[in-house]
Amino acid sequence: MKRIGVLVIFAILLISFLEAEPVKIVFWHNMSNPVDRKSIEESVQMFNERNPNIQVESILVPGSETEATKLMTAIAGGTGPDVYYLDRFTVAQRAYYQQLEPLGKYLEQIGIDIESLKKQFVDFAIEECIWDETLYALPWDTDARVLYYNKKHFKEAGLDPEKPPKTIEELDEYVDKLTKKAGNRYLRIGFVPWVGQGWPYTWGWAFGGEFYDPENQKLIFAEDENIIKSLEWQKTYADKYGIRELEAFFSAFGMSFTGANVGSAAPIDPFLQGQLSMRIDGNWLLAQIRELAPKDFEYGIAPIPYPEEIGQSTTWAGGWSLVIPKGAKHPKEAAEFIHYMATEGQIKYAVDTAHLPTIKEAVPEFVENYPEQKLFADLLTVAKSRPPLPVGALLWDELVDARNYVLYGEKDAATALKDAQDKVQSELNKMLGK
Amino acid sequence: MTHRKKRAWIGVLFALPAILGLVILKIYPIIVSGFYSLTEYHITVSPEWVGIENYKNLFSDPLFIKSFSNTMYYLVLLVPLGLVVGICLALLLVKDIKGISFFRSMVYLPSIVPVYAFATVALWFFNPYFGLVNGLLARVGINGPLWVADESWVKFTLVLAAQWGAGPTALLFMASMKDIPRELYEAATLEGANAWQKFWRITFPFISPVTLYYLITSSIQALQFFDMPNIMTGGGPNNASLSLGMYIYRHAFRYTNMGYASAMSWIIFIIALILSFVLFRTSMKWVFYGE
Amino acid sequence: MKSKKKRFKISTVISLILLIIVTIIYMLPFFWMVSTSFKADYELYEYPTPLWPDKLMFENYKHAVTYFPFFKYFRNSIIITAGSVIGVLFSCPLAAYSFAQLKWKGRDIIFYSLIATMMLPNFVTLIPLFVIFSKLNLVNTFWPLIIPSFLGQPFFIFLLRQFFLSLPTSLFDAARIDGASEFQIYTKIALPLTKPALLVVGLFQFLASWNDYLGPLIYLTNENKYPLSLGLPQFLNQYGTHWNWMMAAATITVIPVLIFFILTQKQLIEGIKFSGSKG
Repeated sequence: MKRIGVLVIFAILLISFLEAEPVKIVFWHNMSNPVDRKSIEESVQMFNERNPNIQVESILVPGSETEATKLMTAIAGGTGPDVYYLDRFTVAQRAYYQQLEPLGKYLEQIGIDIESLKKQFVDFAIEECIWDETLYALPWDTDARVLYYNKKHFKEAGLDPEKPPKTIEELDEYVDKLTKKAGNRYLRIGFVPWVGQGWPYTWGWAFGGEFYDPENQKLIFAEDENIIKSLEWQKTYADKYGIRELEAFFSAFGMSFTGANVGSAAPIDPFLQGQLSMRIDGNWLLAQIRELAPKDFEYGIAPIPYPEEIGQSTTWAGGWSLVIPKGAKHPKEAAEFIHYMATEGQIKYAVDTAHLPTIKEAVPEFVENYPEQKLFADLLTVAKSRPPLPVGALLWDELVDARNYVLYGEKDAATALKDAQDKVQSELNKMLGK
Repeated sequence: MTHRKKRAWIGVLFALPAILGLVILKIYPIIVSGFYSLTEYHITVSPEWVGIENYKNLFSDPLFIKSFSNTMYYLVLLVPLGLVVGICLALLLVKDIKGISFFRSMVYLPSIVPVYAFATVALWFFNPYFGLVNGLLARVGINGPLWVADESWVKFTLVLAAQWGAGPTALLFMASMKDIPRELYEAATLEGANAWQKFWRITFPFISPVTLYYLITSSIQALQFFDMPNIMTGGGPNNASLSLGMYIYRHAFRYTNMGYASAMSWIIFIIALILSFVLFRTSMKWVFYGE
Repeated sequence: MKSKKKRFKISTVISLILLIIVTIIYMLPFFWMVSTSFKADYELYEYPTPLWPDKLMFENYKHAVTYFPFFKYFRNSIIITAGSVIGVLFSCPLAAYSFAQLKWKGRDIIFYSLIATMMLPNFVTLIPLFVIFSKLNLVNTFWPLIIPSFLGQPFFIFLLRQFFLSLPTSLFDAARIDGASEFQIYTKIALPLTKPALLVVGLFQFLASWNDYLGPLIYLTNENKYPLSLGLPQFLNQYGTHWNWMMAAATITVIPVLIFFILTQKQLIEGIKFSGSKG
């Protein structure tokens, strides 16, 4: 007995000597909100405990959304992380420029069935993670856009605060009633379509248009009647209320830390301050309102208005993802961690932080904990997302410029869209090798 | 070794750290960026030689042209205005009155606060509907312009707001005004000179070396104007305030189009070089190095 | 005689009025920052914007220093800034003196090259520079943020050269005749005479390092090494940016610079004048 005992002890010692040092991987994220951070760190800790041979170090990188200066310089210098938290919308672009490792390949290596994994996530989210038929990312959280409106203003204007506008036609009428002027200065403006999250994508889709034909890899928005109409409708606001006067209300809104503004909070906010009655914005605004709105602020949310003949509302979603940057030293372990975070970690995250999940399994618990977000959760099944193209950022900027040309009367909608489409399509063709 | 030769060697020795820095930290990256400007380079993929194509494309890029002309506007306005404001503030604050250090600190403050505090106040100040400036103008019966919201006013508004940062310039001028012997002013007063003459005949020659410094460095900074338009207006409305610095950043990091961004940077580089050359050359006529 | 006195008084009064107006205008950003830092959450978006909070919310300051490891970041800021200030005060006057008062072959070419290097926008040199430091294994240390100061900064070398050029060569020649070494002349004569400029350079570098965001962002990958400039942006996020906490943090961040400035400009008042040394 004693001899066997000694042998066993000896064997254990031998094995622990031979067992490899744990692999250390580095994870960069920028969730600086204390609640978000805590959730992430707890998940990381759980992973580390469960996987003693992989130790994850999570590092907070301050900065804003599509900001990638730090990542780019790190990859160029060979000091990049193993896992990175990336704006999902830019996955295709980064994949095209070989800035990401093919996550799918490594997931397969550790025995994960990609096809069934994909099904765990909401369609639009997982689609954004694929480029050239390869999986480069797993979706993290997401967001959705709706119409926010000020109930007090409604009451004052004789409108029913429980009946927000459903159609564009109703919306226009409401805006008329809500807008107040003193002489030729605006005291309050009912609504401005292009502010907040009222991007060209938002209205293009609301009007029933399509931007991209994936079959033929062609951009089609310039020929789409509905998208043209969406711009023309916005122009009616510019004409009726004065483009410069409307801009003036929002001259404070464009503030963001690095200028790549996609809805960051600003210290001057006409909606929260009661000078703007309605705004299209994301579900994140709920948190901002809950924490920081003035005491007597009363608001409601509703689906984005649509033209009468379209008959139903749309929204689109963005959000984040987890990727392996190029040059990561331990891609296999990174893939393991990403798989864990995007599934278990994300379910926990959704409940901890009230961020909308992309993993279907998390939704029921999420809605249970945050009933006010039910509208958003429901919208996820019909939400659209931006076409995953390597020209994603360029396309976005060109659409915004096109809209501005129209609003300022420099081009008509059809021409502005055509110019934008031609420019981006030629870049795209170059990249696709056409 | 002769004294001359020895001094020459010491000269090199003293300048050695700077020379090292020049070669390693400045010249090498500049040459590399010049190389990039002749390539299609996306950081993680090897650069692909394209010759002067980036430069050719620049001239048919409407946003490049727009941001270039915006930047020229910034250059032409920021530099002279900054000079005047800086010198005036310096004249005001250099006096040895009791408690002047309080006023100096206040004027310097905006340069110390984080840029969002600065930007928020500027936006609020110039807000056409609830800002201070239009409020005051309204009191004297003027219907103020839409400042940051108006394409034709936004650049001017940014230039005005930038004057909040005149503290460091004023400090520089004060540092050089301190050395002016009081006797010169007293003598001038006896001769019956007025303030204007005293400034040009006495003060200006003494601050002329710093003036040259200011003209060159603020031109360089104006050509690279980035922080303020980036945070305050994001380049709008309708790209009216988009500076070349912002456009370069966009291509460098948003589109990871480094080659193109490098080409644009070299255009700024060359303009700055020409401008400085001209300034240095003409400086012999009006800069007085106190001998 | 009487009219002269009157004129004197009026110009002082005008100066004083101007001074007060200017000061009020220039104080506004700081004022907004401090008043926001004391506001309660619900006051941030009230309209009309309250100039001053109802109640001074000192808790905001507590939130500010616990949102991120404030004092650790503060310490890092001090290290980086002190290192950089020492660096520029070492390398820049040395080079500037050489460019201004010593003659050697290639001097002017090197000087103008130095100036020229200021003119290329730094975005495109970020990556080559990063690669250099990464090859030297200095990434994730403070060194890439401090070393460049020891190797001269063109802005400051240029500035100091302008000051050194204004010094009379006769002074130096006299000292040389007396047998002083160049180094002695530099430290005992030239430096003291340009003290105001040196103080200004120190202050400018202090400010540049203290508020530098891009440098620390790309070179530091360990949160324990982050300076304050990487702390403030952490307050910004879509799901609820507490501007009041952020401004509280910003106010604390500003104070050391303010102190440095007050001390520096006091020195400027007592700055050495060289009266009458010119014939």
